[in-house]
Amino acid sequence: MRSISKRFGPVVANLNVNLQIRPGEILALLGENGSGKTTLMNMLSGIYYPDSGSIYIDGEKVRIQSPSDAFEHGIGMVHQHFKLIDVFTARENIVLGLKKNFFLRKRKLNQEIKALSKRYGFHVNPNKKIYKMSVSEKQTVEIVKLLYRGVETLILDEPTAVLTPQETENLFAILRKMKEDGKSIVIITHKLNEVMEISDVVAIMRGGKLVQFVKTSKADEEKLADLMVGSHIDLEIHRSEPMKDGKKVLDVKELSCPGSGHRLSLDHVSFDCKEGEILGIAGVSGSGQKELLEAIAGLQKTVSSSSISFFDETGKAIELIGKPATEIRKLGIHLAFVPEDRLGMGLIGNMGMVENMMLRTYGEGKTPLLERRHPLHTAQEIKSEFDVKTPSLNTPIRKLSGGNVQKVLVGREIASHPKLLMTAYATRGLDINTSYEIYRKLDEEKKKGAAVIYVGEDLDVLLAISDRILVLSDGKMMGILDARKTDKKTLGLLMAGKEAQ
Amino acid sequence: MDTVINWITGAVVYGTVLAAPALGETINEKTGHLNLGVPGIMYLAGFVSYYLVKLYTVAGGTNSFLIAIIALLAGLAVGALFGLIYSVMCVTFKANQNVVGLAIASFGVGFGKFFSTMFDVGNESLSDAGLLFNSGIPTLKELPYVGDLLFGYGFMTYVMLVLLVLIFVFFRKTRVGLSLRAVGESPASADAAGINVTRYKYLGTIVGCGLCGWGGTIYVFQFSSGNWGTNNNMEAIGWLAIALVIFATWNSLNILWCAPLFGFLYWAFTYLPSLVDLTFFSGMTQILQMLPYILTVLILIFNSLRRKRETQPPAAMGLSYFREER
Repeated sequence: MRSISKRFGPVVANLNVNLQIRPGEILALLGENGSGKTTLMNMLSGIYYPDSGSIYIDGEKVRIQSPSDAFEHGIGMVHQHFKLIDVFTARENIVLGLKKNFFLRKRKLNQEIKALSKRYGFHVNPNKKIYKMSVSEKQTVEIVKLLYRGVETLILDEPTAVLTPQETENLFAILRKMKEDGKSIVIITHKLNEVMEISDVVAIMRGGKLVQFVKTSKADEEKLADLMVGSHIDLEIHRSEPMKDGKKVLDVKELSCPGSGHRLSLDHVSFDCKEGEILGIAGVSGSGQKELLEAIAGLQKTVSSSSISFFDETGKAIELIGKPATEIRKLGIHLAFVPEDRLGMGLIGNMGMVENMMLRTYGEGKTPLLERRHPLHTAQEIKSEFDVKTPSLNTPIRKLSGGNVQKVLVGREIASHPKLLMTAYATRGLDINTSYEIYRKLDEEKKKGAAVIYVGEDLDVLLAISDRILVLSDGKMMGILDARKTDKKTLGLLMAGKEAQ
Repeated sequence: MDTVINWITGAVVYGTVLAAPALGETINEKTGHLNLGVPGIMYLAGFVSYYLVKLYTVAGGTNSFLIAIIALLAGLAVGALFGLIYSVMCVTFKANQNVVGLAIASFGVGFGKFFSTMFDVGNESLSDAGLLFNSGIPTLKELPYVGDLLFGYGFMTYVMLVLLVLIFVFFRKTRVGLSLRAVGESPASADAAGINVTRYKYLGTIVGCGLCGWGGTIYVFQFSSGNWGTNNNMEAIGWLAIALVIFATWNSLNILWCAPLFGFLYWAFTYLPSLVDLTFFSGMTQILQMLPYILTVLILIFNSLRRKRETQPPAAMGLSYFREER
């Protein structure tokens, strides 16, 4: 790829990027969110078309205007949000869009898929519907889909974000096998340890530009992180000691939530949470984290045997189940949930920062008119403390970048200094600096005596920030571990539903 | 006994009129387009095919084969033209599908009425063409009992029957069918799989709307036996066809029994009172005519409760697709 540039309106996503991909090599494309990694690869796979610059394959200039052009040149990409059709079977997704014979011959296609899977060590059931699959199964289907099309260059966008450590190991083994087979692999990531583990060469992107291209063997994590951020950063997460003899704030007993069909999305979960501690919650996404937090916040139906008690300052127990969400909020229990699309929960895209603050305070004030002064103040505070980049406090937040939107969402809950703060995926998609800023803020809240429940995807962070870690697997509680005494491997096994040894 | 046979044959004819736009709308919706313009498309297509056949017969034409061809091509062409307009607006310019659909619905009916006044078509019946579309299968229809019931219908009934099965097989077993479904479920995924989303959306919409046009043709010639004056039911059938797509859970094979069932319920107001020999109160007709709609609502509720993924509407229906949207 030579001097590639791409803009989206006024935003420059890529500027004069030169990149070489060689066969039989694993390239890690490292960079923070918004640094242009995905955009660059989308141009290679035909989703976007570059504004300027060109792409050469084996020395020949090519035009890639659509994904089918990319397939013709042997390039395929596994997107972060899988491009699979839920109601179709694995087979139908794999052969989709190929121009071969008019009729689909089920048996023959199944055999072809099985043969391909065997060669690389996959396990795919061609007749299984996508919506019945786990995330890692879906990812497998995506990879098989590309291999079936004879792809020689595979691009994987954040492939490990949704996998347990064991599933990641499996994926890496398969990638190594494909590399031996002479295929080129590009893996987009922001996880430094993975870069070190799997890649041969690493390209670092920052602000849409390619800043460094090095052999992995000649790099170390510290150096890569500095290059990625552009300034020296401290990768230590500060964890203060939990408050001594902190009072119990929350006591959850036998909490179950109904799921689809007869399944329980949350299955008899019991735990407690004390003031001045951070309780981490680990699990593959969709294991019941959302239901757990929502049940506490009063947004989720629960099964009748469940009980959630909250203890106020006087130590009086208050049953939360059956209470409306607004009353639970008034008790000082706040939830900041960052969904995948970031805008889906708790913020309104067409409103500005101030009005979004008011979503929490519109009931306050003495007159029938809205009280604007206080929310304005909060908005200003969040803007300066979290460095939210917005033209004005009243600019509709859908016009802000994803990271900034999220700062508003998480900032609003932290800024209200609740007694029980629940955050889920608070740093999803944020750059390193802001992420660490949020970790610091959470630790501060803990020092002030708040109970914090932290749901996260990154196990390293969970281990570093939490005092205790509760592991969920498919809605069941696998155990509560002391974060200071456990490791990733144990967590991973529990997340996969296997009992600890 | 005769009443029952009449009721059933009436239901099948009504079902034939319904089946064409319902099949067309199924194809539309499978490719992600909620086309609410069905009544308008049917109305104008019905008028154009009526008027062209009239011109042909007035000029002295008697070739029945040609009459059928003119009528069917006219219906198909008007429908396809609407499909093209719809695609340009909704696929190329990404206009809101509901607005465009409703605009086509009122545009089609309005212009149909305007032209029929302008050309002063009146209530003249094209009885030859009407007979042609209702002729039944020779000799077989003379059979006792089953003759009328199975072989007494006009040829379009059998054409629709074959089409419903063919389209079902097409969606299930062929690559093009799979691609069309993919476009309606998730255009982004289809795009990533190398499918030309725009092309398939145009294809599905134009073919689907063409079939909706046939609904008008069949209404005029088979249902009304070549009369233009009795078109006041056509709009209602257009809306009912959209309901039928939901009722049949986007499966063209289901239309095979759902469409006659709707017809059966529709005719209840004529045959039910005489059959059970009861005098209902005067508003009973209207209430009985509501039956198909009530059934659709019930099915919709039932389907939502069942939460089976396969019987849900195509996931991307009603949404425009922007490839570079972030």
